[in-house]
Amino acid sequence: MASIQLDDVTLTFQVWQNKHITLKEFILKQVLRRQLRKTVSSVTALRNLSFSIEEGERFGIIGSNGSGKSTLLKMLGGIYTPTTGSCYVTGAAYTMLDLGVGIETEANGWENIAYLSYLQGQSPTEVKRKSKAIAEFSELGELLNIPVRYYSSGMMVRLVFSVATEIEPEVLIIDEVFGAGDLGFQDKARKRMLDLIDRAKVLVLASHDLPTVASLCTRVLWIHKGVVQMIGDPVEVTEAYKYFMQHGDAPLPHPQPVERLAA
Amino acid sequence: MQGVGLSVGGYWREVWRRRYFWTALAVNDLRTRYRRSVLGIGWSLLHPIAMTLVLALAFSRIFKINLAEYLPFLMTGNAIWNYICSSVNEGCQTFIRAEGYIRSHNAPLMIYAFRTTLTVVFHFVITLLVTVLFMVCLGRSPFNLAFLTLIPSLVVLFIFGFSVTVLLGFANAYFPDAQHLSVVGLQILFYLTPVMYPPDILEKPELKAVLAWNPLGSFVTLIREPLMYARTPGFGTIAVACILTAALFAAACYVLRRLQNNLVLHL
Repeated sequence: MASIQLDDVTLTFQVWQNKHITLKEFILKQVLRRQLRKTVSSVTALRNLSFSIEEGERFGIIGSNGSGKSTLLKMLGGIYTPTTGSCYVTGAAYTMLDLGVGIETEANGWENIAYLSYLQGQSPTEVKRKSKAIAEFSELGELLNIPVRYYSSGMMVRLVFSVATEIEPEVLIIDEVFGAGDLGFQDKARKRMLDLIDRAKVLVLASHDLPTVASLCTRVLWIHKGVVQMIGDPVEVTEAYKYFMQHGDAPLPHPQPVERLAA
Repeated sequence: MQGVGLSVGGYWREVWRRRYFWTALAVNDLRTRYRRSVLGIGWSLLHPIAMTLVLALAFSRIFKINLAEYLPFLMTGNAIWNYICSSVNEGCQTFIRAEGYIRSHNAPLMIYAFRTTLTVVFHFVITLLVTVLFMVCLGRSPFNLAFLTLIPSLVVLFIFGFSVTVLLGFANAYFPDAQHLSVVGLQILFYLTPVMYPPDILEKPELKAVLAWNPLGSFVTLIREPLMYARTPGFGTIAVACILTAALFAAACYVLRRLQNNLVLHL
């Protein structure tokens, strides 16, 4: 049974002004028992999220930039761990988040197809069987023989997308990939996605494309500044979100709790 | 299942499930390094060989040592020292280099360390082979029963290199000056490790007392004894090497367990 269960999840990032403290500073602090530079602040990306997704659901996530959509997806994909609360994902999950990261630039397209498949735990025999279909779908042809370092970002997207959609996960987590590649590929990619969505037991999809979300999903969550605003019927939620976006001063269903960030 | 810590067995199973990933990437790393050079694999050997020759010439003139004796002695020391240095330097980069994967895939961090260690061990084995070949050319065949002790020694060294890679990989991801500090540390340790000191100098009590405190010396002895003197390494040497390796491995496992889910926030 594939499902997702979130119970009072909060995720807080520690932010260092200069990104890192140095080992020298760290040791000095330990030795001298002095306070570290006061540049550590925290950002709460997700706040008290509780919901569950059952098998058979197609769950949409909408929200403006910086609302916490991607963070939420990364957590569902097991990349981030909640600071407090619990997040359980049952079933083999696959995340399609940042296309184009985790690529060996010196290796050619074929090799990268193999590496990405191996990372999912596939064997060379499986890869050999699948890579022809992957190559065909990507339409990269001869270009698969050159190092990926020479690829344009569009070609990179084609490559990664083709590999990712060849894997059949139980839980599929997708972030904005409908805009993959050029127009011709976008169409193909869309068809492939719909196909995949039919086969996956649980789908979680974050997108800015409201009509797509409304038509594809069975339930939609609107998140704003890490807080759940609305969750329920796709049309209702997308309409409310649209209204809020058009009237910047419209009141939020669940206002952001007033709280100063820790200094 | 995510969001909860995997059991130890589950963790290793996940690492094993992805074995083709880290082995294939290690092969890719090696190939990439040699692809664009005429000398191919010779490149990575050039540095140790040049260094050995320079040191050998200098020392043989100054200390009037027999080159045929000193050269293999130096080469074995150099091979193992280069292995330690590479483990440290490549180890520092191991997670930073894997940032793209770590940010987009939920996989045990250990697989990125294995990728690094495999390439470093490969170079080490090549350097050892060159040393052996060289010794055969000089007419002192190292093949005897003691030679077989190199096999368990290599296993110990592999675990040692892996642990160093994991620990420094984390250190450098959290503290960006870790690599600079470790380079300085290695420079100091080099003089405290019996790499280039001729055998008769090593017998001097002052030096002996200092070197006795450096556990890295045991790794040098572990390789040098069977190759140079056809002797099985002493019990003390084996004990020190094994204890140091076990301690580092335990530390590496502890850090992996504690910070597996935290590292991504610091990249």
